[in-house]
Formats: sequence, C-alpha cells, structure tokens
Amino acid sequence: VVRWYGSNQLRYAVINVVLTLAVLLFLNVYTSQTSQKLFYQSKESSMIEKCLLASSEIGDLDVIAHSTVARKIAQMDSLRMSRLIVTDQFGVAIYDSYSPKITEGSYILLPEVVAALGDNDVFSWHYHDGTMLSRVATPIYSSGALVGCVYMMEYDTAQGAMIQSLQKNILNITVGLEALIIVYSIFFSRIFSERIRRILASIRIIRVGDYTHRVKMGGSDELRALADEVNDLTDKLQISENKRRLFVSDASHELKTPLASIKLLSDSILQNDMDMETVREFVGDIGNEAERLNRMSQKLLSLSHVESQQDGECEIVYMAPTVQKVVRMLSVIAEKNKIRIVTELDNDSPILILEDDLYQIVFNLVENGIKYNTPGGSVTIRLDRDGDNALLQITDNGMGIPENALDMIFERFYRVDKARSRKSGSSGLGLPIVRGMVERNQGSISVQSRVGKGSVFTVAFPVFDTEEETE
Amino acid sequence: MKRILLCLLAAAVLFVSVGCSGQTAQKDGQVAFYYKRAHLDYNSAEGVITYEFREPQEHWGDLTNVLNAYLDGPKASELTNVFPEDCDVLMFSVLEDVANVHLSSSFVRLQGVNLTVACVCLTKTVLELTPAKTVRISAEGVTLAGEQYLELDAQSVLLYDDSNARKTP
Repeated sequence: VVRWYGSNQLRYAVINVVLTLAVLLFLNVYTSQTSQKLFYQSKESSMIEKCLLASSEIGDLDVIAHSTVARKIAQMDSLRMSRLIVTDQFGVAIYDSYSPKITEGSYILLPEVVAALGDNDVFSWHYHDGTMLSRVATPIYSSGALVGCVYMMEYDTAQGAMIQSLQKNILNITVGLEALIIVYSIFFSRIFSERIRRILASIRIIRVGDYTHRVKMGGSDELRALADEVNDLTDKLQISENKRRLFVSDASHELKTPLASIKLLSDSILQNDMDMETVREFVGDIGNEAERLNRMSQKLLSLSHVESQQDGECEIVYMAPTVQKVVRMLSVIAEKNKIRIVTELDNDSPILILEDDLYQIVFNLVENGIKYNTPGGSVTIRLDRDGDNALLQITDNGMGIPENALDMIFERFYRVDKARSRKSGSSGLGLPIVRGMVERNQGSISVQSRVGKGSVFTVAFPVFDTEEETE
Repeated sequence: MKRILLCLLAAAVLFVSVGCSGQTAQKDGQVAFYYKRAHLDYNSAEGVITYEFREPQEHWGDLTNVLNAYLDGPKASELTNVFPEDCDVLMFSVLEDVANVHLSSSFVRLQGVNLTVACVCLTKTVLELTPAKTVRISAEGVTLAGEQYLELDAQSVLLYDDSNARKTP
C-alpha cells in the first residue's frame, strides 16, 4: 500500500512547488533589486548634478557667508531638498535650510560631509518601507582651493511609494503565479498518480491469477508503454499457464494409462485362478508397464532439466565421436528391427556445446529414426557444414510424418500414431527434449518429411572457429 | 530550554539598548575613548565617530596621563587615530564646567575637517571622563582654525542627520 506521504503524487507536487517558488522568489528579488537600482542610479545622477551646481555657484561667491549663501540658494529654484547644509573647510555650518538657528556655527560631522571635505563627491541612498532617503555631498572650490562643502538630503515618499507599489505588484503576481502552479501541480500529480495506480491495480489483479485482465491506458507516453509491456507480459503468462495446464493434464493422462494397466493386471491375478504361465505373462506385462512408467518419469525429469538453468560448462567438441558412440549403443536395436545405420561423418566441424546434450540429441533422433522405420529401412547420419553452421542431418526412409503434424511433433506428449507409439514404447517427450537441448545450445532444428517416404531432421549449431575466436 | 531562551532574550535586549542609544555606558569602571571610524558608514546613527572601551591602567595616575594614552590611538582595527603621533597633552585642567586641554604644537599639523574630527573625538572623550560640559582645546604657540582655542560641547556637533521627517517641498 502506498501511503499518501510517500506517494509520487505528493513528491512531484512538492518538488514542483518548491522549484517554482524558488524561481519566482529569485525573479521577485531580482526584479525588486533591479527596480531599486534603477531608481538609485536615476536619483544619484540627479542629486549629484544638483549638488555640483550648488557647489559651483557657492564657490563663485566673493564671500562665503550665511547671507550670501542663503541669497544664492534662494535664487536656485531647482534646489528643492529636504535639507541643504553648506559648511566651511572645517565642517562648520554656514547655512542650514532645516534648522538655521540651531545648526549654524555647529560642527557638521556627517559621514557625507567628512567625505566631501576629503575631496570626494558622495552619494548615499537608503530605501525603507516606502520612503527613499538620499544624501549627497560635494566639495566647494574657490580659486582652486577647497573651502567647504554642500550637503543635500532628500526625503522622498513619492518615488518610495512608486518602488513600493512596483514591489507589491510583483509580489502579487508572484503569489498569483505560485497559486496557479500549486493548483496545476496538484492536478497534474493526481492525474499522473491515478494512471500509475491503475497499472498497479492491474498488476495486482494479474498477480492473483486473472491472466485475461488487461491494463487500459490512453496516451502515447511512458506510462502507456509500461501498460503495453504489462499486457505483453500477461499474454506470455497466459500462454505459459495454458501450456502448464496442458502439460499437467497430458502428463496425468500418460501416467494414468500404465498405472491403470498395472492395476487391471494385478486385479486379474488376484481375482482369477490362473495357471503359473499366465501369471508369469501378467507379471511380465506389469513389469513392462512399470518400465514404461520409469522411462516416462526419467524423460519428464530430463525435460524439466532442459527447461531449467543450464548447468555444466560447454566444450568445444567434434560431433563425429559422439555420433559413433550413439551408433554403437543403438546398433543392437537397429539390427533387431532390421534397420541399417549409415554414417557420413567426414565433413565434421567443431561446435561449442554440452557434450551430454549432444549425445542425447543424436540418440533421440537416431532412436526415432529406428523406431518409426520399416524393416529393411535405413537411417543415415550425415555431418555437413553450411556457412557458419555445422549441420547434423538424420535421414530415415520410414513411415514419415503427415504435413499437418509437422508443427506439433515438438510439443510434449504429441504422437502422430498413438497406437504405434505405445507399442514402440514412445513417451511423446523425445523430440521436445531434443528441441529444448538444441535451443539452449544456440542451435536450431528443422524437419522435412513425406508420408511413406521418410523424414529428414536437420540440426544446426554455430561452428566454433578456433582461429577466429583466438584472435 | 526556558533558561536558554531567557538568556538569549536578555542578551538581545542588552545588545539593542546599547546599540541604539548612541551613548556610552560606563562599563565596570572602563572608560570610553572616541576615535574616527576607519571606514565611513553612511547609514550609521553614530556617523563618523565611535568609541572603544579601555581598562584603566595603574600608571595613568591623573587625567593628563589618561588623555596621553588616548592620544596614542585606538586598539580596535575598525577605528583610526587622527592625532599626530607626537601629539601630547601638555596641560589639563577642569574649572567649573569647562575642561581645558592644552596640546603640543604638533596638533596644528591637522588641517581642515581632520582638525574638527580630532577636536570632536577629544571633546567627547573628555566629557566622558570629567563632569565638564564644555571642552576648550588649544595648542602650544599656534592657533587652531585661526582661533586661540576651540570650544566645543555635546550640542555643538551634528553627527547624524535625523531630519528626515520633513518632506521635500
């Protein structure tokens, strides 16, 4: 169960909101700072210009005293400041527009005045809560000598209010945008999570065994691809499950038949008075059925083994020695069935394979060639090469396989002629085992057959070219 | 936790009260010496001048020695000494509300606003050390800004422009 606080929905929403909030805050601060800077630059140039003009006018006076300075400043209409102070070179106030009676004659040690009397033009600026406080000071020169300074202070609420309004608007836009982003994030993450939840719910349904269920997902994004993959996987699971059921059903049926025979024969022995010879015959039949059961269980084990993980290490082998070994093993049965085994092993090539698998493949195919043959027939084993493939070809001139059965012969428990197969002791597992072993050794198997003419099984393995592999 | 919060609160109140007053508080018998700031702060309420506390020394003896120690310059790196190196207090006296400080002739090397800054620093320091309300500063054999002496008090100096209540017309 995915809890809400650990869900992707919340995670994506939070990441979205935090990231956008950070970006908006940055833009907000940046815009605010930039607007303040623009106001600052505008104010700086304007005030320094005014202050320099005042310094120049006062510096041109013959006598710099309160009365002359006051008269000059009164003539300069453009000097509309909250405060204007004129000092001598020692910082003693000559003129103060703010509080003449208190300040004049006092020592003015404002930082701007001290800096200006040190031969500097100074501008300082302070903005707070809708008010803009600007201070400027420039030295006064008379005949080239520094004789004092002009200090101006402007307390401006009009421009301050403009900055405040601008900042407030930017903040409102930011808050509005962030609110939109929050709504969008919640909406988007809900849709996204809903689609993930739909896939999750489908997987849970499939997990409990409903392989007919399919994920329904619109769009053409990654989630749609994921849903398609889940559906493909479910298809495969369904096929696999069908095969498993069929196998269990077939295996049960195949095992049931000899067991039923054994039961019948043993009941007959117990319930009827028989002579010893008949009893011996029945017990012999029971032994045959038991032997059939044994073979079948061994082949089932072998098939299961083939389908599980490959064990053992592949070796580079030539097929001819294995073929010869198989021929030796089956020569007795072949002679008994009057079948001739012919080998053409000259064109042999090395392959990389589990030797036991190769033995089993050759054995099963040759054994089939003998079993489903007619007396006087033959089985030809030929080794050949076709490009990069080594070929093992087993040809018989027996009864052949009908064309409609060719696709089925590699299925478990499939038999073309059930009566004959039972008689010959076939389990219907030999060819599935062969195919499993061929495929797990990167080979392929094909069959060509004509009824009454015989069959040709061709197994192809990639040639292991020792020189090329060494390089 | 409560104790820590109370301590932090007390420290904050103390910091704010000292930082905002612009006045020196005599701190456990220490004395405040005023100097010019090394770097001008255009937004500080204390303007160009601030102070440092100094522990009274045994060899100081009388106020003349204290003032001579003062003239040697500040210890804090953010302060700077405006007085000439060889400037000494030759005579110091307090008569009624007036403190008289007579300095050596090297004081006259200070010119313009530096002379004013030095006089204001000396005045504020003397006003901290004595009950005087006015400080009269003179130098041996020379005039200061064309005067025999300069007379300053706490009201004769404008260190910070707080006239911002009045709008630009």
